[in-house]
Amino acid sequence: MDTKTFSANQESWSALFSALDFDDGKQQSRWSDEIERRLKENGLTYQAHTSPNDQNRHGQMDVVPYLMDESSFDFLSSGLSQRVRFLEALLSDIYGDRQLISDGSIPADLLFANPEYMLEAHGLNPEGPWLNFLAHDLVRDSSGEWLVLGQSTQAPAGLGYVLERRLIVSRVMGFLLRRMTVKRLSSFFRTMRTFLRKNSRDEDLTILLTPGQSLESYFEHAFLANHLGFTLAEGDDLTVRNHRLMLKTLSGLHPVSGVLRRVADKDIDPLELRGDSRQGTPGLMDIVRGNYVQMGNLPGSSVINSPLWMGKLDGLYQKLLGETPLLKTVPAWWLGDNRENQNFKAAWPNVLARYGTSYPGGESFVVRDLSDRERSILEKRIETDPFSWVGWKAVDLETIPTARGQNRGETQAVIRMYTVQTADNRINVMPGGLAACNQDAVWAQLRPNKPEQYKDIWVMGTEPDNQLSMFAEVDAPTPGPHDQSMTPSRVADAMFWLGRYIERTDALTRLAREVLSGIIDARVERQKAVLWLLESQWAIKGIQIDKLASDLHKLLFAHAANGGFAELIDAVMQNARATPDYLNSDAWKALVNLEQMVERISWMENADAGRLLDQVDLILTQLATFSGLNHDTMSRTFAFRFMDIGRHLERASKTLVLLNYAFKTLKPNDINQWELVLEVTDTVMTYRRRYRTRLHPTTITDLLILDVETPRSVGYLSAVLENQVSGLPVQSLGSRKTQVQQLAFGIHASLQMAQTEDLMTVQGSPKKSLFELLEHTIERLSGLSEAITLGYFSHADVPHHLFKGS
Amino acid sequence: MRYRIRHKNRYGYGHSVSLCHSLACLLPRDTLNQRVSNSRLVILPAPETVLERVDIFGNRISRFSIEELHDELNVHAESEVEVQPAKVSLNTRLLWSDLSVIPPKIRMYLRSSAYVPQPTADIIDFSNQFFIKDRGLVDAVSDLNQSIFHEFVYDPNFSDLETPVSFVLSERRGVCQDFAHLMLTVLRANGIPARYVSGYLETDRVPGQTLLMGNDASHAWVSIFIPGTGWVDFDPTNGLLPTDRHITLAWGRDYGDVVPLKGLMTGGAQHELEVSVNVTPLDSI
Repeated sequence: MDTKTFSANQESWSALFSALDFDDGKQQSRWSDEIERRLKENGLTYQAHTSPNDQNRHGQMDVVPYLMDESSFDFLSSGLSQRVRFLEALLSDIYGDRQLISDGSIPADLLFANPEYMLEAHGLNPEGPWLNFLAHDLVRDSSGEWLVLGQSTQAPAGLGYVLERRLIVSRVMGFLLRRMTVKRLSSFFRTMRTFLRKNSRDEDLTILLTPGQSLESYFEHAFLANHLGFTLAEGDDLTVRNHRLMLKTLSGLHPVSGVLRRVADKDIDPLELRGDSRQGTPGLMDIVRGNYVQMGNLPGSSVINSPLWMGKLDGLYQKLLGETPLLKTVPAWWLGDNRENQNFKAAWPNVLARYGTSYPGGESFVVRDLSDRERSILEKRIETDPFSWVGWKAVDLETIPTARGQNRGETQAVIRMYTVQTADNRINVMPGGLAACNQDAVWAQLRPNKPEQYKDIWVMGTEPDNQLSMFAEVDAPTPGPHDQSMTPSRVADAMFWLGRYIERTDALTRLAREVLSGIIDARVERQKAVLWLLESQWAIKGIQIDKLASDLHKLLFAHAANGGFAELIDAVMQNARATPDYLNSDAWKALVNLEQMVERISWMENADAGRLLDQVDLILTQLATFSGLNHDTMSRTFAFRFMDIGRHLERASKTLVLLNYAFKTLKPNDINQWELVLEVTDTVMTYRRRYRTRLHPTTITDLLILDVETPRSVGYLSAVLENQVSGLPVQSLGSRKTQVQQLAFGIHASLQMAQTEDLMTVQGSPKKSLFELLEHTIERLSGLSEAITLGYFSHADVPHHLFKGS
Repeated sequence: MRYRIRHKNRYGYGHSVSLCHSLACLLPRDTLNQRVSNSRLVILPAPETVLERVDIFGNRISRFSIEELHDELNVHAESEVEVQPAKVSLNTRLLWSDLSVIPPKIRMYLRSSAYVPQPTADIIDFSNQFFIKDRGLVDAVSDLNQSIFHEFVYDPNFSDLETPVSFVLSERRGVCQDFAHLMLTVLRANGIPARYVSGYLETDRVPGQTLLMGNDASHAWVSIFIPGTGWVDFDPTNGLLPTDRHITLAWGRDYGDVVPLKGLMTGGAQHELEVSVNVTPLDSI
């Protein structure tokens, strides 16, 4: 293959190929497989993080990297630095006195047709730069010239993936990276962190502001936040008080001084900007206006993302910088201009067209590949609003090598490079990034955000980059202010409910298991007991025992079942997704499995009781796996504590409600029913071991209510609750902590003080005092739940719009 | 004419509100024929600070937050304004189709905006009766202004902020905001730069003058840009060209740029808003 146009010299390629070709090319496919395996592993975690409709993780990794000489990188580096300075000047003019509009350098309609142009950004007068971070997409044409295809301020879109993939590549083929003296990425991320913490006091937080779990790139946000040591926060986690941005945490409000923003410009403040957006925080624009936070990037900067600028930028360098551009932009026609529109039409249909919304998203077309009908629709749309369209001719791209099994083929690439401004306003370019590849050169440059494959970009230094340890290709997560009490209230809230819903699912599974076993068991008394158990939860008068299996499916397993499995698992997943970085990947796998099992059983409406029972047993095992994993591996964070409190609180109230019902409806000799009570509370074995007698309500009271050693006993559960609650953070606002603590103490104490003989008659009938104890404890538990909500989650309250005045 | 304007807003909440962030556009601006003196905003409970700034249109925006528990919020604006009848001599020979020289920054008012949609077939049908070949700009716009006044019913119970202009057009009813947005849609569809003006109307019966129709709260009309002349106001709700009985508060692309009062509250649940506006001519006192 002729490699003269490659952006790296022959020796580098030879070194790379000889490593890949080792063992008759088997090394290449071995590495390839290993990279793919690791990506898949991450992918599963990723899948769990996003809603099921939203699971396209574009582009696998090509084991053949994109090689770049230091001299090529230095050239790109100066070109991109100049370009960032230029765009900075452009933004200052656009949001300043708009000289370029007044003097006609920029057609007014080009700016006003730009959907990212934000009138509210006028008058921001930033102390620092508009652009802290920028991603540039570049192509290299067949003559070897570099051209800029577009830029994105939605910084740092894709940075999480750059990190993830470099970590994988360096784990799989690390020795090669070292031998080829590939530059590390770590200093780039350090610079980024330093910039955002520029004006921070030690106790100030830096956050990554994410639109939340509904977004495809949520995993990337969590990954990046974790790596940079920033708190991952959504708009609702923040509030503006006394001209400061605050994070609502378990220990009250904490000041935020740095914001890495992944929420779109117009969504950051529902007060001043897009009012129907739920992703922002009311008052945030004022915080930016007052320069109270370091924000990357500033709202309004997305105006330069629009592809409408493509053909206009190069001509403005002289005016704004007094320089000629080192890096040219891909030539393009803005269709709002008559002459350019004519040229576009002359080149039709060998043209590409893109709508004016942010690059690289938004609508784009390869006219060549459209049907006649589609072409005329497009023509019509352009004719109606030509100002909003840009067209260009596809660039003839250089070809680069790619892996095909044990051999090699060719592909084309758009490379994405990142810049960051340092705290003293110099510009750093990341020595690396990702190349988006497509074997169709035209589609490669039309949709660089949806490539067939990615390549890791290797920038090769002239000497080894030994600024860090051998294995730390990228820094270990930077320790941020990892104070536990900084957990956002919303996360604690979700963990609490995750615990409660997991427990509800567990209880329902145990109930379903007993009911199904009862159906299979032919004895009439047993089946009557099963109906009694069902009645404890549902109004099911008139269900026939012989039709129970199919009725049970409607009641518990079907999608529409009220309070059934599907509903519970939805609630479990919803709360789990709100707490992305608090569960480990094995716990995620268990949850994903659980969701799939529940889905499967929801379709089994014609299955007999035996097959349903098998499936229910699997669910129960999976629940045990999830609990075991969390218990063994989850660090004892506040988040974990809230999940644990949720579980114990739910379990205690479930047991009490069942006992209350049992004592009200059963006689001492309803042996089958009493046995079910022990079964669903998982205490049959304990009972037999301890009492070695026939079932008797008095001993059941002793075991399930008063005992302090049995993990399912309310006595035990209340002790755990008291202990867990005592370790919660002290609220800086008010004295609610003591109220929470007092309630938990009260519940535990009243159970400790109760005696079996005060509660039950000798014959085994309940006394009035038993019902009082049960009902009081149920009430107090729900009071405890409310007090926790008020004390720790209440500032998770979200703001609402006032009616607009007229 | 000199006026005193009292614009009172009161929010009553079902539950206490712990935090409220607000933006007000309630203090009138100076214009070519309007001078504002003694304007002030009184807010209860009193916020720590009220930040005032001027937006891209030159409107006065007040920003405040109430960070203590409160059950109601009062925002009163009081201003004294002197208005002179606009001195414009309208160039009646300029054709509507001949607006070739529009200054770059004015071109912003040619595009659709949040409340002024891209024209649909019904809008174009409606607008074709006014914008005929070789017709004068002022003639066509005056005709449109008159038509909305005569053919549309002023109906305070018909629309809300979400009512689209197409529905206003098909039902032939609405309030001043709706008529202004409809007129803007038609004007921009025909390449005429036009902006939304919010303000007040002197509605007191003055002997020898007709009673003008306006909102109880405030009024809205439009302004078009005529090359060589400048901005000229039209009030489609009353079918006239404003003189000195219209007091300008602010202007923008549409209502969304000049909302008099808006905010976000935490807590509060149900709430209600009472608004009253009082325009008193000072010269007659």
